Amino acid sequence: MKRYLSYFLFLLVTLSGWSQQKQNVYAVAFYNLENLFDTERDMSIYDEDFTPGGAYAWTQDKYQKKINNMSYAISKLAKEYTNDGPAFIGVSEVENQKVLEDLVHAKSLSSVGYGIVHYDSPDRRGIDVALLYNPKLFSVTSSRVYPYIMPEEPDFRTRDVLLVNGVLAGEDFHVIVNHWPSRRGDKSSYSREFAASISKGIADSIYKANPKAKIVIMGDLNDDPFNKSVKTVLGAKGKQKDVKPGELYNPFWQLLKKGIGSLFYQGNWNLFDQIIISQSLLQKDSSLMFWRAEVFNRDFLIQKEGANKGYPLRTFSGNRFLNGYSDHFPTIVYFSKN
Amino acid sequence: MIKNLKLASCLLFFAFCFGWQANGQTGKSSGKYANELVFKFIPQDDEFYASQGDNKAVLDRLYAAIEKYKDQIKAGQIPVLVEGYSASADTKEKNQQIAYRRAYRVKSVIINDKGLLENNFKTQNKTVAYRGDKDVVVVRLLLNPAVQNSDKNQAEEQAYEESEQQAQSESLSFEDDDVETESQGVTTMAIINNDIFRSKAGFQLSQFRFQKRGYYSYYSKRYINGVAFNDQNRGVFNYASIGALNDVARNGDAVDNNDYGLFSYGALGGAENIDMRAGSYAKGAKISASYTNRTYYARTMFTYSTGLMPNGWAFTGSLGARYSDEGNIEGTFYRNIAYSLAIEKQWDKGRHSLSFNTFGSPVERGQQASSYLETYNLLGNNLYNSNWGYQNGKKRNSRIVRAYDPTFILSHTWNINRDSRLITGLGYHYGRYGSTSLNWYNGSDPRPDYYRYLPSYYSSSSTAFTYYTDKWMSNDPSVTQINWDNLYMANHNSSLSGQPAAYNVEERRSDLYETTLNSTLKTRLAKNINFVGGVEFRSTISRQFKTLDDLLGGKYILDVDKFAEASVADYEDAKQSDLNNPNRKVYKGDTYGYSFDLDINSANAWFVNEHTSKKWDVFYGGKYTYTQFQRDGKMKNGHYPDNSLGKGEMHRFHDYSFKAGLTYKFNGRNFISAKISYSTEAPLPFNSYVSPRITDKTLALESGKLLTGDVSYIFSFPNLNGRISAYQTNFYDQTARVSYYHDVKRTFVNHMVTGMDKVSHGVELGLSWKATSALTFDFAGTVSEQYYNNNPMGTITYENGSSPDVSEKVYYKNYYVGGSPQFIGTLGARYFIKYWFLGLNVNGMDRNYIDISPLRRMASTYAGLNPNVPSDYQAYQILTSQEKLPGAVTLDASIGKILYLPKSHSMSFNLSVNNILNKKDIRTGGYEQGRVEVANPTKFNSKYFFMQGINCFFNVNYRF
Repeated sequence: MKRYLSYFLFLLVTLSGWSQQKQNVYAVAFYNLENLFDTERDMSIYDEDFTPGGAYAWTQDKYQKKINNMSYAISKLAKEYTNDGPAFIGVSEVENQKVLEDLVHAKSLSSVGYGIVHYDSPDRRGIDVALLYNPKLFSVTSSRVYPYIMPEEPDFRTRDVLLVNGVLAGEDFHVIVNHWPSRRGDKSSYSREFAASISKGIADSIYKANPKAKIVIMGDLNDDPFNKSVKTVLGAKGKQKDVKPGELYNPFWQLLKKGIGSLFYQGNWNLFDQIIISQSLLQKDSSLMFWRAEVFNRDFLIQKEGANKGYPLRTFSGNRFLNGYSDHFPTIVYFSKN
Repeated sequence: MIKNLKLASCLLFFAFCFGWQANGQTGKSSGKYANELVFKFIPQDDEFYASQGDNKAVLDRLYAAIEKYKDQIKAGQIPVLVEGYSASADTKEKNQQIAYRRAYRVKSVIINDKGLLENNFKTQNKTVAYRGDKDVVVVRLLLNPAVQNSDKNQAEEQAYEESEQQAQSESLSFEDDDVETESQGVTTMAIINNDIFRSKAGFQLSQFRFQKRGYYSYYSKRYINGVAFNDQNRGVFNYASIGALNDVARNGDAVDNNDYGLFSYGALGGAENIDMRAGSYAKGAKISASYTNRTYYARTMFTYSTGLMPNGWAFTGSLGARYSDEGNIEGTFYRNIAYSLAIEKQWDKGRHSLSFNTFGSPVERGQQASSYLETYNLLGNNLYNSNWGYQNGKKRNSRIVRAYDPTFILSHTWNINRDSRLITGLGYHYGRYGSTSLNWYNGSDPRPDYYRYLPSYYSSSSTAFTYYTDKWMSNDPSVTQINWDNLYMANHNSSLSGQPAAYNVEERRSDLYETTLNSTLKTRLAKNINFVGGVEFRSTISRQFKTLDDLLGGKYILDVDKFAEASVADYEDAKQSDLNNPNRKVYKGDTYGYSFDLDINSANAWFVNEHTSKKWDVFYGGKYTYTQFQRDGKMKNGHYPDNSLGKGEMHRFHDYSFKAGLTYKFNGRNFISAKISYSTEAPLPFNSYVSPRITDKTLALESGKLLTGDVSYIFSFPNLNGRISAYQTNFYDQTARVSYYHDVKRTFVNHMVTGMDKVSHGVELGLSWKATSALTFDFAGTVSEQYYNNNPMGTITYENGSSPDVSEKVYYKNYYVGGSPQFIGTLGARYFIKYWFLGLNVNGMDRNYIDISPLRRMASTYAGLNPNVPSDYQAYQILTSQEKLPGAVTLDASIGKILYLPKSHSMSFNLSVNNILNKKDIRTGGYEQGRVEVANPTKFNSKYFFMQGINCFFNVNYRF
């Protein structure tokens, strides 16, 4: 009888340990939402295309479908390893506060009660970055934006860099959300190197105040991990053993080396959507430790037929409404708490 | 523990509130606008406190900048941008007013202090916050970055590209990684679908009549809006049905090499679904005009689509035309117009969609004939066409195709939920296909290249030989082409004496009435298990008959086969096409000669399951098909009075297919994939009857079998991607029919071969190397073998009954299958710069064999020969060896440009030039003649098709 009891207890402990394991995993994610615009005309930005009369015939019906699809996708993030999903999700390509509120109040997400950190940015396209956070897992202490002003081109307007300071699993946490200038037009790598310098500057000033600060730099960087902006300016390393204190680790470097990407362009995968972490999250004695990184390339997010078979299933192809999700996959990084 | 929890949650709540409040604070930190000129205002107030604290410092900085650029500012080269912001009032109108006044006040101060003018400024007013601040005015000097930094940008761009190349190659080295990626899912579809072999081999190598893996075209299945459109009689898709409708038949889904898709179980030669639903097109119009020097020389197409409109409707229409009064082959002409209309309605938020399509492309064209090397050499013209001649000074072609295949498709899509979709479609088309040819009852053979009109026939008489050689080499059209005037003359004479016309033009019709109903379901059975499956019903009537197209001035002909061979007693009956209407007079438009239907019905059901996991993708599937067909003769033929009129034997087939495959994903860049499949297939009705025009008779029919497998390694590195595959396909119990006209016996001969085995195997390589960001090199090629693998049984029937049927083994084993080059490749370079596209391709082929004739591989053909007699043996050698057509190399180039114009218009043009080296002696195919004269082995030489010399296609598109 005693033997059975001990077996039973052993089982109970193991099971609880296993579920506790799940409970001790925290996820953070980033998702480029592909043009989440409302249907109203905002005279200060170029959003004519995203109005009912515009090129995309962006009606309330399509907007509602977009909200449903994006909220559904977000509701699926990190569910294999966590009970409640990501502690926070950096997002890009959102028009304004209203679309974010519609998103977090949608049926798939309303039970979580996501909080929103958002500031309007001067970007001409009208798209901003923002942070959605699960108040049960992450609390916000303060936030601010850092403007992007290149001295050589003061007229060049793009997304600001968003910094959110908060608490994750009882630890002080700093999140920097980015959407760097795209590769189109004659914007060279320099514009992204400059963007990288802003984030680097923020990270350095946080480190100065606290060398053990836990920092996450995430975003659609429009560059791959081995491009100059990320590799050199940010100095994010691809291997854990190469990262010294005060430096940054990019777990997505290894993923791209293996051919995993977050968007497909001209026959190749790129991994622009990265989550880069501070060395303090790698240390074994750290209470929150990096566990793994993934590109969330689930089946439902992939186009299954047609010429773009295998690509992320996006919302628009040209001006054809595909009722999909985004041309980017979400990316996720997991931490375990000791 | 509970107490701690309560404390923790309180702290958390407090921190949350604090953080939330912190959110709403306007930034007071001084660093926020370090580099900007931002003036602060009191909420809801438009007064500009220029001398207060921060504002004073900003104003000083602004004035310093204005001083620096004062001259340019005053000259209007550098505008001063003043943006007023207000977001603290409660209505948009109030904010608008306040923002306007704020900007005005700031501007006034600057004008007064700096002596500037109103037109040196640009002003904007905004009712939103600026970086979180609701009450500011922002001032900027609009320096012109383009002028200053363009050189720098270009150099930067180049440096960036080079560093990117280097960075990518650096990252290629594979070392131990420390990121746990074992459970990261790998998606293979995008890379597999980006197959360079498919894109190159299809288009670039079609000039050599290359067919991938040697598979006949009936192994490639085509669907439109999910409905199958390979006909049930010959099994092929009628591409002419969408001729000149390229712009609306461009998009779809394709799968290769026995792979399955969401619309189909798949087929050996691949399957493609063309999406022509009205809502699938982008809104807008497109017009194109093309010039070419091939079968037609001008083409134009116009397409307009409303796109899917908010009310759920979509309309797309297209019109097209192709024309030439004479193509590159003499005596051929091309007249074609095409139309397409698509209507779609979606409802219930797109959950349901109903779409209707109708299209057609009626065409009338003059055909070319293949001819002997002798005629090509005599005329010095490899594009000689024996089908035409002069009539009253105008060119007239005796072989004209008139075809029209109007199609109607009704398709319903039901998006049941995120994972499931059901598509049901009903398709109907009426394919009218008619092909004319000359026929004659009395009088000499009107074909100019009839062997008795060629010098080679007179090799024993030097005067005749010289006479005929001279005539041919003089290019005298009354010798080298059909002499229509002579034919009219002969008919005139026969009319005078009340005789049937000596010559006439008949039209052989092979019409098709086909209905297809199918339904396809895709769904997810479990997290990593996807299912796709469907059912299909098809019903076809293939109506075959001939009509009298032109009496050529004569009065009538008789519906008899004048060359029917039979004993004197039976001759009167044997020569009748229709014993129920003996010796009927036939006038223009009447049906005569033969008339029968093939009623073909089939049903099938199929499914494919796929399981995906991190490292492995596995699929398996099956298909069951029931086919039945029956001949329904409309005439009681004199040779087969008991076995021609009425419904014949019903032939039924039950066929099965299984397929399975797996893909192992080393990582996201390398996969290895293998597939295997075994299928049985009912014989095509087209191949099943020994002499379908006159009798229901068939040989024992059985389903053919097919066992196929392939293995591929697919890779995608940043600058190099491609695929290498090895495949093996074994065909068993195949049926083929060769038909030809025997001019001595004056009858059609059908030679059916049954129980035939074939093998097709080889290696394919597709490779794409991105040398620089603008330059890419591609290669696609295959080394393969296609040959016959046994000695099947052949049966010869003579339609006029001049000889009894002959059943005899045909020695096919190890002869090559003709029709497609077995070694072939293309190497190309593509250059893309500033929206110019340049391409250059070198193409080479070899191991293209002539189509062999079964008669020449029968033992009885050589029964009279003695192997010990050298001339006999030589004749045997000549007649039984299979000619390999000479290998060839061609060069193609193309150039194109796309221009983006205002208002989303665009224009593009493209010029492609093929066979730049103008090689006119390349033989793209040929066939051995059915007839043979053992004593004179070179008498019935093979016929060939030649490739056109330099040819081009120039296309201009305009989108608006």
